[in-house]
Amino acid sequence: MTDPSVGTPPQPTHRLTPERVRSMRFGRTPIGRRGLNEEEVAQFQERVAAELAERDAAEAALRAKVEHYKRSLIQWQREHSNDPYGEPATGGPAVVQPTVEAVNILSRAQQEADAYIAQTQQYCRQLADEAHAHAEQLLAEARAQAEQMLAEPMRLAKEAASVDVADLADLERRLTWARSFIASLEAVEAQLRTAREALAYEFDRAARVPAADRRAG
Amino acid sequence: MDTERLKRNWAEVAAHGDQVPLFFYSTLFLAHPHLRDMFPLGMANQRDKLLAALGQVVSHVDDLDAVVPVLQQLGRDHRRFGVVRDHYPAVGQALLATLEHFSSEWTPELARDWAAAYDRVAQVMLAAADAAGEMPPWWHGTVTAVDRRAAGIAVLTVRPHAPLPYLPGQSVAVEVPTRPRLWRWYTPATLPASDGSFELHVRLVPGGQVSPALVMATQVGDVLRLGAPVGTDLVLDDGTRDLLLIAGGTGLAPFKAIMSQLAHQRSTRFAHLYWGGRTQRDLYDLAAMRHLCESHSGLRLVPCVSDEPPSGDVAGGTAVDVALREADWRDHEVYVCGSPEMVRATRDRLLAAGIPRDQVHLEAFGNQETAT
Repeated sequence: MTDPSVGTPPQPTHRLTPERVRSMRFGRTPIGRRGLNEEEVAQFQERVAAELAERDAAEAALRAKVEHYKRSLIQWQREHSNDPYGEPATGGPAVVQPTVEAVNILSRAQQEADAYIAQTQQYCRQLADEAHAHAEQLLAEARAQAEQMLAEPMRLAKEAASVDVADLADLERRLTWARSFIASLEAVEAQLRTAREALAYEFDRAARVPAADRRAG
Repeated sequence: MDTERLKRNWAEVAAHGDQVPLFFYSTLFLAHPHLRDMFPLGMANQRDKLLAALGQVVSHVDDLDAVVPVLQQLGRDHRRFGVVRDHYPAVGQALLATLEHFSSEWTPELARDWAAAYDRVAQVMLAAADAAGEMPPWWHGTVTAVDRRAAGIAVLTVRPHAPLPYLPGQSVAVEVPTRPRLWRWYTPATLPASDGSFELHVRLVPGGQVSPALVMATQVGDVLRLGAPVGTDLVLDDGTRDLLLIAGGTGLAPFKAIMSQLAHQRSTRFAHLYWGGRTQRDLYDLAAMRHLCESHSGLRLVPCVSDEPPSGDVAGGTAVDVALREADWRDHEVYVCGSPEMVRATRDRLLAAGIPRDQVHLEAFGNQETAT
């Protein structure tokens, strides 16, 4: 649970991995100062991570080739020496090891799966951020509208307090107005709730995707 | 054992970065396919962790005693993944094959030294796992209540099927049935009730793999898996100093448990909790916290909002701002829990205010989800 990024500086010898590129989060600029477009940063991170994975795979393929040539050479030497049943060049316990080619194929598949998962997560994050910003905006607008709508009856009410009580009919009318205003506020609230539930449903669906993939695969 | 040679060899191997753990896991899974099911679908985070752990062990290879506590914790932790004695040789073989693959010069002596070092590490881990044998490797816990609150936060009540002994401030790893092999740490926010159940406070991390499932999809009756309680950073010291507790968002959880403990013991230590959020909607447990603080005279709650004007008893500003504005805390033990950014910023402010470093206790959460 302790976060390694608190207190201990990152190890300089640690080479960047695709995962470290993808999970890098940048601090927010102080309010009032302009920051970078988060979407562009995320896209760039994904590209760097993909290229790192690509480079890793290319290096792995080269090493597999070297391994293959080494084995061929040893076999050739054995076939052309006087002692075809002599000790192989490398000793060690007889543990059945998968070939480097097989290892690389599995590694490649795993890297691709990791990239799909990372992209899905990034998409979810973006979706949630947009929805959040939209909700905040809706709330701010509703609040501003409410204040504006309230200002007029407040002013009238203040006047009414100083005016003669005789104008009861007018007061009644303002009361009706205030009631219809509250009703419209409730409608806005219900709308917001529906939107939130729809979002929650979408979110839940999105969150279930990896599990569904796993079953399908 | 030539430890210098091992370190040099590791430096050469580790320079290949992510390719090293990739090769290791692929070798392991091809040689022992049944082990694949013990790992999550996505392995990127797992690979980074392995590389970091190996690096830590190798850098102490001439003084393995220094990493024994870490290895013991690893050994105990691995019980919850279903790791048993038989798995250790398989891992050792895959590790040696990996080291050989990435080494320009591989000699029988080097192979022997690596095997000896691995054997030593495995023995320490296994001994710790065996010593923890009386404790179950994991607990099942039934969700008995789900309370979804504002701002993507759910308060879950979980009843373990067997007693799960934790100290207030400790955390347990949690696995959801729909996200197998993915464990996340959460802190019980209450003392265990008479049936052993406790509260977990879960914040939804957008794009996270586990928290959305926990917050949005968990239903009463779901059975979670829970790991053994760990952590000492936020467990109350046995001193007598009064306490300043600073929480951000769901970082409230350990302090709610600690304050319940103080109330339960009728402690004479005074505890001030400054609990911060951006807006009042982020203060998802205000009613329960007010109720708790009324139950014992030694508890005080100051809710804080940073992005809204203050109102009533809710102060304006970040939790640490409000706390430092109100008093001098240099004779208090200070505990901090929240997001990594919040913990970092709070620590810097506290130290700048002259609070001695050894009186400041920190725990950060949140990166575990964003990092996967």
